[in-house]
Amino acid sequence: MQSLKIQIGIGLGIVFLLGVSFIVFNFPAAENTINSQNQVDSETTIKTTPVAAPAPVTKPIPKPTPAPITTPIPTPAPTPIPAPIPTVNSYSLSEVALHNNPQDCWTAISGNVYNLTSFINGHPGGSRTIISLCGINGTNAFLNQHQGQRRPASELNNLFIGTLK
Amino acid sequence: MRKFSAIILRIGIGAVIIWFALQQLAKPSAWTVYLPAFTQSLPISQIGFIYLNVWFELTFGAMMIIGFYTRIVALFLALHMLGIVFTIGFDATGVRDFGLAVALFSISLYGTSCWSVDELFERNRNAELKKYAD
Repeated sequence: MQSLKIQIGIGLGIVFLLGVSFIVFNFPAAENTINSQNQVDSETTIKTTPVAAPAPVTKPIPKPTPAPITTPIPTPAPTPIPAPIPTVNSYSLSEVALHNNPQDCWTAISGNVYNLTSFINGHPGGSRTIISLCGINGTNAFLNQHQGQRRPASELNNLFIGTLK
Repeated sequence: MRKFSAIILRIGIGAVIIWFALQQLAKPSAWTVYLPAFTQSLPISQIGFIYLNVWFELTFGAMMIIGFYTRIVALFLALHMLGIVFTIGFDATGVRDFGLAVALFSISLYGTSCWSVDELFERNRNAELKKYAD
């Protein structure tokens, strides 16, 4: 019976190794689409070309004109100033990409921008997953893990800082 | 009652391992963030590494549940969990996985328990030895 146990163990080992070979040969590194997508998002930077300072323009000194005779103008009644409408900030992905480290961590998810800095150490799944979203469009990563879950969506709302342009 | 403690621990942890394997199988892209940095320089894609992990955890989790080569399987799973703890670090997930690793080491040290394939082979071996002794 012990030899039977050993034979079964060897058989299982062979099956296991066959599975490993199958996976290794069917998923080579060239199909690394997730990492390449993240790399593309994180590598988005603002390309700026140096702008030459404009040449100073000298204006001619105007001739003094005689002071006009002023007549009193009736002041109109003050119009009421309407209450200011709160505006939502709007950021581009290149601006989000500037905040790409754990001390200053922004991400874009589903068209909105969130500041994740205060949440890095509070994430139940660990800080690495949050840090991996800094400076990039984290929509796919967030929805893959938390789509349909109320608590992560609620936590995310507290970190909202603007919309994505 | 005492004999059931080992079975409960073995089957419970085996079920946990298989559950995590199925979660990774369902959404492999969501788990690539947990891979250690050195995997990016290897000739296998990140998704491929996740599927490797799934295959490993499904196989060894199933062997844990049925109690086949319990000591070796539990030892390999314990080392696997320690590797995850080392990668993730000392946070909520890491501490929890450390607890799982310790439980797996305990199963590895305990060895064969009742209601397992190992016990079936052990019983047959003892019966054969008794027959030869007689």
